[in-house]
Amino acid sequence: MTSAVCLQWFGGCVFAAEQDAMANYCEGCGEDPVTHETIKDPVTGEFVNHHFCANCPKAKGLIGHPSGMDPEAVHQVSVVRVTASGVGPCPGCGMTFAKFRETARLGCASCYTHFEKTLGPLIARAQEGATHHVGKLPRRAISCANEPENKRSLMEVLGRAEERARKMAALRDQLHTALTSERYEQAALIRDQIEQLQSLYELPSEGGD
Amino acid sequence: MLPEESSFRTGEAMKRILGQTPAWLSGGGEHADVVLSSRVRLARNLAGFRFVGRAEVQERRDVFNLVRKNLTKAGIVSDDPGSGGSCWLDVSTMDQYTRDALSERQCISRQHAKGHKTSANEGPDPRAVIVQTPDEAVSIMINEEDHLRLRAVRPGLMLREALNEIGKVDDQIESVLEYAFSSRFGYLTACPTNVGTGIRVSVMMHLPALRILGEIDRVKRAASDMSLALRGFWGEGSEADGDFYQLSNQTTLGKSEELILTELAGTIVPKVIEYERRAREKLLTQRREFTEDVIYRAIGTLTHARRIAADEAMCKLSEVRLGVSLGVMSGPDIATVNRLLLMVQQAHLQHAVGRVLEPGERKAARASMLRQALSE
Repeated sequence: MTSAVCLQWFGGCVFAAEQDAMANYCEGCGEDPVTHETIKDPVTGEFVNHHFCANCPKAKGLIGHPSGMDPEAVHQVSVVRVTASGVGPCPGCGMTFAKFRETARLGCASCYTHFEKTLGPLIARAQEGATHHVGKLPRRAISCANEPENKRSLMEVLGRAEERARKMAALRDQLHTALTSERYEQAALIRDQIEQLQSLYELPSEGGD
Repeated sequence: MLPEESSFRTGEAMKRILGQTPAWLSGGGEHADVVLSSRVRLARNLAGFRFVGRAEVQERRDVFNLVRKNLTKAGIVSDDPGSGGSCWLDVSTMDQYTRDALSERQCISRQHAKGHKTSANEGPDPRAVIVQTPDEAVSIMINEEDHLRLRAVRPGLMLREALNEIGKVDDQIESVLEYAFSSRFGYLTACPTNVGTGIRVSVMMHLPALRILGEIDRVKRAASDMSLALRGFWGEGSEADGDFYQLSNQTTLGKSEELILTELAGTIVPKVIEYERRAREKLLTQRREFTEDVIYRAIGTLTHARRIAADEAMCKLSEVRLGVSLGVMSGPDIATVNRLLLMVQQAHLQHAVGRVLEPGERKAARASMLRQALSE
């Protein structure tokens, strides 16, 4: 997919979940802890919440130039403390979510875990609603599945019970759609996939799940 | 970027590669009249390293060295460059024209030929490509957008064969290198639009009759209805030079590789092949004189022009290819036309001449090469 298309998916769209997640970081640069501003919209008269860091040029643009907003209506309400639960930079590579939105590229494997809550809906949107991988699995984990020392790696590959159930449900939905639209070749492939996953789920490594 | 050079830094392996035509241009395979080639690529990253765009030059160099060492040990890369097999080509030390030639052969992307930006004291961007010789059926880019981009390509409509081939290579690599993988998102990629399977399945189709009859929009609509991408000869962001269109999947998550392939190969591709064949039939039965005129003017231009630009050459070669497929002309054969599609490109042209050509010289050199090739 071209960068432009990726940016369409990840750059322009702001979801409610994302806004929540971003609330602890400056909405201008995404890097620094924020000052919470409430600004009155001169047209509607409504108060709108903004989250900017102290020196963000974007905030200055918004607050300092009364063309869009009434500077008299700006009230500093509180300074929000940054907590570890906020979506700050990725601990693996220092990537911020704002930077991701700018480039549509993540920085490392940990970004997927770190930004999962925010990233999940964006990925689903770009991937026709898909939320879980049901394709190929690393052979190394599968072929050594019966060796006790590899239980952990098989678990990492297959996921926990809830994730497995979601994958099965997604595959069954696909099977139903394929059958109702009489796409039998595709239905057969999906059925094979379900059987393959089921047989893997029955392996001893399922452990405590 | 390296300054303009007057001679090429081309090693033995690269010289051998440039001396032959890749198998995907052989004109063979199923439905070869309409389908030029089938390709499957997998995007993979190594566990424990930052993705290429985020990694410092030293970290990218570490990936470069680790991949080279482990794949050589596993026999995936031949450690003797003179012996053939799969060669490791260091893209960062190549001259610009040799890199561009690899990109024209579609062994590497344009982005990989260009490389990531580095500062003067960091040296060139550490990146490589492994090319399976002599057929170029498999190539692996190292340190492009993802640590590894594996690609298999076949002539004609042979997607399943390409998927099987690349699956085997993927398994071999995975036995010596650990991939970044998550149970939820699958194979992790720098861009989330590739996450999951990391697969892109694509078919390069030659659709001159649909273009001549003004029906190419039907294909565009069908592709868009099925959320498939339609691109030009050179992939992302390129126009359809010479009526060649690449049709490929857009989504990579939530479906198996087989299903993604079947959705493309089992539904839209046969439909487009049928549209194009019907359009060709219509050209022959209802507009024969017009069609013959287009085709003979094209061969006339290619065999008589004294100066010709690459895009005009592609366009005329496309029309000649149509003429050969329709049986309007007895020669040249499809394989020759396919080979010339590559030879008219800038870097290949300059490699064939053996030196860097000034912009003003290229058109004349191209016209001369075409006259010679088509008079044989």
